[in-house]
Amino acid sequence: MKEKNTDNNRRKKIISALGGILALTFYIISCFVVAHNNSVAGSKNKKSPESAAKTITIAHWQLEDGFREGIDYAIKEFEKLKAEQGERVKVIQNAIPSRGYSQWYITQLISGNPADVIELTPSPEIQSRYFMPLSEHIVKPNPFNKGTPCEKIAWKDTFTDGMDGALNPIFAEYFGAGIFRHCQRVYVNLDLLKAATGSEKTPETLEEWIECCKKIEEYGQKINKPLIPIGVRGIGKTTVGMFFSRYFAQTNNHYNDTLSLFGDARIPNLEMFSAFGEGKLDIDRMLAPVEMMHEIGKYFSEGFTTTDSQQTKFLFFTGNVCFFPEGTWDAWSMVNNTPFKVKIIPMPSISPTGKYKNIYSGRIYENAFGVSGKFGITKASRHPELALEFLQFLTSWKINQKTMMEFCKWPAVVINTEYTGFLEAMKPEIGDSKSSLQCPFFFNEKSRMKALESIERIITEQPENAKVTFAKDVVKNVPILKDEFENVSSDYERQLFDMEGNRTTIACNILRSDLSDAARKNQNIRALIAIENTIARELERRRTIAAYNSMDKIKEQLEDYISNNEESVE
Amino acid sequence: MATEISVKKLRFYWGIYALVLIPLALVLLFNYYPIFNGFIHIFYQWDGDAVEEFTGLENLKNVLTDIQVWKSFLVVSIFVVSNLFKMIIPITAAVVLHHVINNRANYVYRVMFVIPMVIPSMVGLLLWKYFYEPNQGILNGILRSLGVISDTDTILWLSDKMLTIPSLVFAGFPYVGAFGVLIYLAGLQNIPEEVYEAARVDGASPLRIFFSIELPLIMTQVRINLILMIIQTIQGWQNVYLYVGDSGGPDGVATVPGLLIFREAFRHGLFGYGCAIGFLIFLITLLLTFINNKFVRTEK
Repeated sequence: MKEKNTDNNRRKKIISALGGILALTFYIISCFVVAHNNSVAGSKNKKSPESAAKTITIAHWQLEDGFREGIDYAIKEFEKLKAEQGERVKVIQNAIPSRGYSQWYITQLISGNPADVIELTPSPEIQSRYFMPLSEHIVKPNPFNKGTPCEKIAWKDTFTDGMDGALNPIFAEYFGAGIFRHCQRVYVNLDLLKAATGSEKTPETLEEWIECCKKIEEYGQKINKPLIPIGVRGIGKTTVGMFFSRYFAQTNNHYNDTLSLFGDARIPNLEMFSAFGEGKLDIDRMLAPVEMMHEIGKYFSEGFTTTDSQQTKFLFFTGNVCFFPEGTWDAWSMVNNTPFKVKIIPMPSISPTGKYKNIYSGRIYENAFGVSGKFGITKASRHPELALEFLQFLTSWKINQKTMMEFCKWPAVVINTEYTGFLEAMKPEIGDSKSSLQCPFFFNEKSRMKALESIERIITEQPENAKVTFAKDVVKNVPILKDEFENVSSDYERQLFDMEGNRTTIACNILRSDLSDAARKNQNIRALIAIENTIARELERRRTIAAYNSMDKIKEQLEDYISNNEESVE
Repeated sequence: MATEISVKKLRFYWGIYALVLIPLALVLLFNYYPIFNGFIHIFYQWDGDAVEEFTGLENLKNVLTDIQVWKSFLVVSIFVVSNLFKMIIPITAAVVLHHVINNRANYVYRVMFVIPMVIPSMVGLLLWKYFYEPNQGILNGILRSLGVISDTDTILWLSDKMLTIPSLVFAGFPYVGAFGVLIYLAGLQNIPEEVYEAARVDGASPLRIFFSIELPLIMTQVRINLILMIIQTIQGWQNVYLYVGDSGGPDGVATVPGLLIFREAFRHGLFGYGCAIGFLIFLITLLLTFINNKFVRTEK
């Protein structure tokens, strides 16, 4: 027995020793491999410092069809161009899945060795801490626009939104430039439409759309198949929100002309609440879009409130959905992966001559909508000038069109771009159309979600008086709205401290004697932007307080509306 | 029983203790620090980033008076009770499997239970979501083919507020989770054959054997699974989020506390409020675990 134990102990010791030797061996090998790789890389750089290519990296989370191919094309063109100029340049593309992007992004930035050009996430503090300010460059023309319609235009003004969406108001700075944009469209199963209505004519107005939907439903009854006139991905309430805001703007955007205190193109969001409190808004007209949702919602897919994007796409691809309202990001796969003909149309608008002609106030301006995919240059970049050039190259008239419109089939972000073929349907609506309008029934996320839940209920439960039902829900949400105004007002107060600190820093910088003329000019521009933003933020804070103070009056008006209209129904 | 470590031994084993310090530091950093940080933020109005303002007990007061919070606990208690019933099935399956005398057949059955474990739970959830799809989903398809509903009718399994919670409870049928079955089976296999023989000699029926021998002797496993189930159900929100979204379904009927935290913190930016709900979940879980340990008795 004792001998057996001794044997066991010996065996265990041998196994432990073997384990230790193996671990040590692997450790030595890995040290050797790292040291070798390092020396090889170092020697490569040492051998030919002049001939070595300058390498920059671009990182993003866009894994959609065609995007990486588009960027690859831009990279090749950029490398070719730089080679012609006698400079060896290598650009590496790094695509990170969106799910882990924000963690990856922050880790990269903190590590001090991030990619040179990175797709930004919204945090203004992170942008200010880790990204290069661009204001000095955006006022000059993009050098890669030579010989194009954007040749003499400042880089900033070559974007469809004039880079408004890229301004970081707290730090009075531009830290990134967008490279693509998206808008909302409706994808139509033409085969189903033809089978149901006898024609491929797509609806242009809400009234025509409702007629089409009726026919599709009847056709479904005829062939004993639960056909869906409008496939709605309702789980995040995005589509319902989009419908409502479009119809709200189309029936109320005349307030942009009449209520704006300073004659701006649009009335600031918060002023709508003050105007509402002062009794300047027509409640019945503002509630009309709820009635429209009540009407068109009858044709939304059954159970849309819990249906997600994948499910709706699946239903569309299998031919069960006739109209699918969705953004332009999936346009190419929606058209190419379907076994039937697909047409992309704008969201049918309210007809100026139809049922709602008395409250129709115009189409919605789309040109500056949806500029996204903002890329910034990291302060830690080893080749910031090259990174800036590459970003300018990506947003140049020719390359932006080529990469976005030809490869991704997405609308380009640069002005004067040509929409041809498949992309014609994505051309933004401009012309006589107007700006969109903030609806004064909700403000931030919580009240917005509550209002959208109410609209969902109106669609699914089909109450007799949709407007009154919605008005009652808005009254219930008044405390939430008040909370939101209070929180935002406190946030603005804090931001004003940050902005004031930032403005002081800029002012001190201007006084420095060692500044170059260009840097001083840049600091002056930033100082002006900072003052403007501080004033704008203070105004916004005051507007928030005014909106808060209007809520009781708004509640009273809504309660009056409810009592008057409830009686008339009864 | 813990033994005291002498200074002499500590000197001898210092290397081992030093190695233990590394995972301990990681646990402190990644587990305890966030909990501590969350606890501190109960007393702040916090946007999850840099902006915070001390508000004292405001968040806790709001949580305790928020009817939505208590509704969410009511919903989660329905899920806890339903999961309690769902535990019966794996216990039954384990007992039946334990009594398969043929070794080869027993092995085959065990393998068959383990194989589904390789399918990620997310896939299972997504499949059930498609089963519930009103237009093309399998459930409505079966009801149509059986003539229960007409070809163009649909039952809104997840979007009808009367059906949302029952549908979420029913999802995952028949609930024979391999993990639970294997744990109970391991417990059953530890019961000495002599105990069975004595019971048979005394003329005990199979049902009597189950209630008087098998169930009391696997109560350790049952208790562990019960505690885990209660903690997971109270803290869980992913299933509800996946099935009905962050609004918690129609009128938020299926909103559970975890989902409420997610919504308040990440949707509405009220991280301090979210932390306060989290603290309430922690207290309730602690209380239930205490009750469980105190009153669910195990045979040793």
